[in-house]
Amino acid sequence: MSQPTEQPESADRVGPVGVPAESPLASEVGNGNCTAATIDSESYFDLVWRQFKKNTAAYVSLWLLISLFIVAIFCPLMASNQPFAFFDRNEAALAGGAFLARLRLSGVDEITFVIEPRLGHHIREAEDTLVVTVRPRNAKEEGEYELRRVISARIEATGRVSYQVRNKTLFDLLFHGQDEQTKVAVKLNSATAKGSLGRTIYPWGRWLFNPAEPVDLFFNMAMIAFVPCLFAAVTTAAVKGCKWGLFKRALAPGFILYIGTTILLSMLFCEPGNDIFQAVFGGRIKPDNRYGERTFTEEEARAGPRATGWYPPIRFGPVEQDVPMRFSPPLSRRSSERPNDQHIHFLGTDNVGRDVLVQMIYSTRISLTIGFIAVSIYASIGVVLGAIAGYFGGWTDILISRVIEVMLLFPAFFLILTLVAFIGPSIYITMVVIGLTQWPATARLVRGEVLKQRAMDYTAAARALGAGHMRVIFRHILPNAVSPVLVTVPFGVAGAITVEAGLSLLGYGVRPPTPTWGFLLNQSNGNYANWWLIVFPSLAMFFTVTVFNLIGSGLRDAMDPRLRR
Amino acid sequence: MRSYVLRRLLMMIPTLFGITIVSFLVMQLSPGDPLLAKHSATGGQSTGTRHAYLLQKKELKLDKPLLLNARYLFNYEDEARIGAGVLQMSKTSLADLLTVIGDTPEDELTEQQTVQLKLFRSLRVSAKLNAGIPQFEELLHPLGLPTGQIKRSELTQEEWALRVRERRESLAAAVRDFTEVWMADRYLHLTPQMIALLTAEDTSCELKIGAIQALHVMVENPFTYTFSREPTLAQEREVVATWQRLWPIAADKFGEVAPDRATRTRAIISQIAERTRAAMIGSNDKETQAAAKIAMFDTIENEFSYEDAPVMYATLIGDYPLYEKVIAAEFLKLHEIGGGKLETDVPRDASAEKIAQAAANWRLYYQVHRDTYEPSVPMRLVYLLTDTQYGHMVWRLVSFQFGKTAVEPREPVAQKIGRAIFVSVPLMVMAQLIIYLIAIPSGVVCAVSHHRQGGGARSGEASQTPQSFLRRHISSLYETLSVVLWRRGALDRNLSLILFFLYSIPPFVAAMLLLLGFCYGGWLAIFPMGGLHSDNADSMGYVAYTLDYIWHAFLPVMCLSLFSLAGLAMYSRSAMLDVLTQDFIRTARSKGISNYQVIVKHALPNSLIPIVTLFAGFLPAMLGGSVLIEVIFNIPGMGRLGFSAIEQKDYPTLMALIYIDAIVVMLSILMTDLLYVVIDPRISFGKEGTAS
Repeated sequence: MSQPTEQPESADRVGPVGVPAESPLASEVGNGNCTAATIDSESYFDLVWRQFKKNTAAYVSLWLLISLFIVAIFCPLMASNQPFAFFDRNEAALAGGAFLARLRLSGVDEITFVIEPRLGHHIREAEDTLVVTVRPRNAKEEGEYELRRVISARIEATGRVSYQVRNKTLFDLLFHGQDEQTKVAVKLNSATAKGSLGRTIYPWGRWLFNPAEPVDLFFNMAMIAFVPCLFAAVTTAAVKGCKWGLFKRALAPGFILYIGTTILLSMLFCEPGNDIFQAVFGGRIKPDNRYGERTFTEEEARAGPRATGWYPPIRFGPVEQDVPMRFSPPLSRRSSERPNDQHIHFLGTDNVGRDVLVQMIYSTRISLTIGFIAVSIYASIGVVLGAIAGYFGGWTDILISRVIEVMLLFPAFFLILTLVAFIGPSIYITMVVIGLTQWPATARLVRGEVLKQRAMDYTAAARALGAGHMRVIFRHILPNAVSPVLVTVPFGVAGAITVEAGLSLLGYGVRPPTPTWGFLLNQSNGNYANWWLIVFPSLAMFFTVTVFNLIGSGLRDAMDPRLRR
Repeated sequence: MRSYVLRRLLMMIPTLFGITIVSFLVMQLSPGDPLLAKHSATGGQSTGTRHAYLLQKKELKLDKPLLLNARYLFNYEDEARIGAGVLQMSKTSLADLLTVIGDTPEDELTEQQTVQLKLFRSLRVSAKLNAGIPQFEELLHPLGLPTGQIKRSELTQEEWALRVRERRESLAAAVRDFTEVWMADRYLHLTPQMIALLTAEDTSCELKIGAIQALHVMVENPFTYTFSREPTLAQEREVVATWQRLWPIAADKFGEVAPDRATRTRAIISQIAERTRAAMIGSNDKETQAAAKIAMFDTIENEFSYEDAPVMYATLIGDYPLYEKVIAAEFLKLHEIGGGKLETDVPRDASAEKIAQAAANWRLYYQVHRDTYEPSVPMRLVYLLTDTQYGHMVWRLVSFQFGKTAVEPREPVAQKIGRAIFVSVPLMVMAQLIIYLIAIPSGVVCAVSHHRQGGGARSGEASQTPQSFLRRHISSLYETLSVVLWRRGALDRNLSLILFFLYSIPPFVAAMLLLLGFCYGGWLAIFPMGGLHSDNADSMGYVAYTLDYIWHAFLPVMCLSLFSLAGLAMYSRSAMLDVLTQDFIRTARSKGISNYQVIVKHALPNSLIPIVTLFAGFLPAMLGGSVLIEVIFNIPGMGRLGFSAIEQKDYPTLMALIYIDAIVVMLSILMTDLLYVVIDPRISFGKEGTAS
């Protein structure tokens, strides 16, 4: 029977890497009842993947999971209270001084600039001098000072300053004009300059680098890293041609590249990373969050119909509160009088007026993170301890088995709840506690599997060739023993997500501003009149858990040769 | 087989040990002492609160070291001297001392001051985790600067000195409080040293005052004046010693009692004593005992008068039955003979005479209780390991003495948990019943349907074997149904899908959705919002009560069972599928047995074997999951008890709950393991000790 699997790369890989020879998998591959002959190499994972694809539900679920990840990564593009771009009149007035100075240097006599009186500017008129005092709410002292200084310097230099207001007096406009732009013409020598003063700012971009939760930073960086990775992929495809084989080969390195870029960016732009950068290079690499305190939607609402911001489709932030709108049912809107503020809370609001839909979108990040990190923690602990117990046997095995048995005795959720309540609510604590309490099941599984593999000939052969214990365990036995663990991973992720939601429901999962589905359930306060706080998170959780379970069962069926018919 | 069972039982011992270790570790993570945390937050604390705190600490043995009690090996002489010194000082003078220590560089301190500083510093670490004196060094050396280099950017010298003084005074208060706690933790070792201080000739008056105050803090209720509910001979010694000390103070007030009066008194004493004894020992009824007690007190109050005191005293110290002594002690206490109380505390400005008196009292106390404080050398070695927090906790857990809850009203933990168990267990049992009754049949149905997918529907011919009328009809009905419904595994697919969705709904989500759907609102509110009984449940008849209970318990039980039900059904399906592909089934079919018989008689029992073991596997999940279900449905069971214990920081209850849960799971695993061996004859009893 020929075995068209990939040949072992290194000489010391004695055992069948993918599949044990006597397993029905091998015979199936060899029988040629699949397209094995046409594919250049059919590895174990190719086989599993082919079987997995046959299971429609699981296959669809995989795509749903991918879209869940896409939602998690790109949620700032969907919902944010920070505009992508915003034409800022506060900034315009601030920059006015510098602008004036620049014009004067270029020999311009007259300039026209726009001042928005209602954004906190205060213009005082004098007999023959124009003193512009700018007091924007969020401006620094320096800006205000500079504008005044520049203007007065100019007055001294020329001695001829006049102002002209189109149609109305400046006074009228300042105190009576509501919606019209105020235009003040200042003559300098004899030249005239046209141009609107102002600056476009990009608060969303700054906000991306300064999220409330570090998990958000990671996902934001994943969003940023997606752009170059996509570019690289498209370039590669354009250069080398669009082939399935190429795509398949590039998938794993591409993914690693993507994750690596993301991690690199996260390390660079996190607070400690920025500090290190500052210490080494002397400047900040992370944009500051200078507009974080501003509420742009409010400003737009006060500015009237001339909207100057460009926003994501849903104009609510994940932690943006709106107390007067608390517990609004779905499809309620803020107020009808404000022309600019007509945004609908599609799924209602919670107990402090945060938008439920936005919170649910952002919750996918927390849930997926908790699920995957917790499972990777306990899978690693379980695999290592189980392998050691199974391989060495004797007292090691007895000791580890006892520990496994004892840990399995405690009701998991209650133990986790107690620990999390003692240590303090935080998503990281939750992840670690889940990871540290759930490993025994995995360890038991791996131990049994390793016991089986240890008795096989290839292990003895590897030992005979002089491989060390660790090498035998991690290079020979584990690759053949981890597939049952892989099957438990999707179920484990679903379980971890459920546990986190349960903890949050009891008020011990996350700290309040962090949005999670369980915390939304908690915010219904046991009042079932706020049904939208129960139904929508429940549905989201049901959806996610189902997706993971379907993938898990699909994987199990694909990996289990007995169920393959 | 017997050896297997024995081995299995023996293996429980290390497991039990492991359970106690995990419980202990979990409890060590608890965020400090709630009382102590409150203390350091508010700075000061009334004597009453501290008293209660120390009592509770002693009760739970939290004053002991964690794992190894080396205190028996230390000599606490210096510490006793310094502790007494601290307690004797007023807050101002203590602040003065701290000023001296704080302002002098450390290498120039006198030997005594160095020891004092060391002690003060050790106060920080002795209290549990970080609940000790906060910022000791910062308070002693403000702003963390070394002594002498005081930074005065804005303050004048005087202002700065005032601020430093202020800080040191607050430190002095903290040092005093924590010295008390520190000494109370080590009362077993410091009391002999304090007594030695009191006895020593060269001890100054101030130090004696400090020692007496320290003893007063460390020892709760040093003297026993009357007997407890169940008098013992050991108590007798203490009581007699107390009154022997008190009597001489009052002795000269009493003349000789007339012989006939003495005789009468004696007669009454022995009469009630006999009656009380009979009531206390003879019956187990609490009310009878209480009535006898009350009758006894009545007699003491009405029949005797103050002049009878000498007779009573003679009864107490003489060779009389125990209950007569009980009466005598009660009488002496009632009439406050000799002041009725031995002075154990002295104010800071007490006269030498008073100090001598209190010192004598404490010496008396020490004489009576010497055994407690001076254990023999072998006992010290035993205590090294056992007299620790862990040792005491293991003993409490193993002997099921869980103590009292930490929250008011302080009822026994066992009682509280007992009440909750009686709420939870019926729910669990019902849930398990439902799980097994629904899951296994649906699993079997799925499997059979799936199996037929390959083989195609068999014709429903009557089998050759003779059958009873009923069975023939059932089986023919079954065959018909199978032809109609199970063609090409349609049933399997649909049922599996439903089970799968059930498996994907987290139980608490199901609970909230069900409450929203069937309990809240108008037209579909057919179930109650929560609780297990209606308000007027007590006035209902037996049947109505049961119905009411079922009505209330329906949704919670459903939520408890849904998740495990789906899991078990899927498991049962795969187990059945495994069996159905085996050879003996083919043999059975080829013999011509009807499909019904093949499945029910041959396949089902074999597929049940792995399922039986799952019973124990679902239990931890259920116990844990019941927290959420019980909180959502407002059911006062084990889960909600655990949750409220976490919320109220009621650690004794929490520890007991974690432990009991683990024990329950352990026993059920043991049970299923044994059951497994019994029902499956194929299991071998290898030397590995595990059934495999």
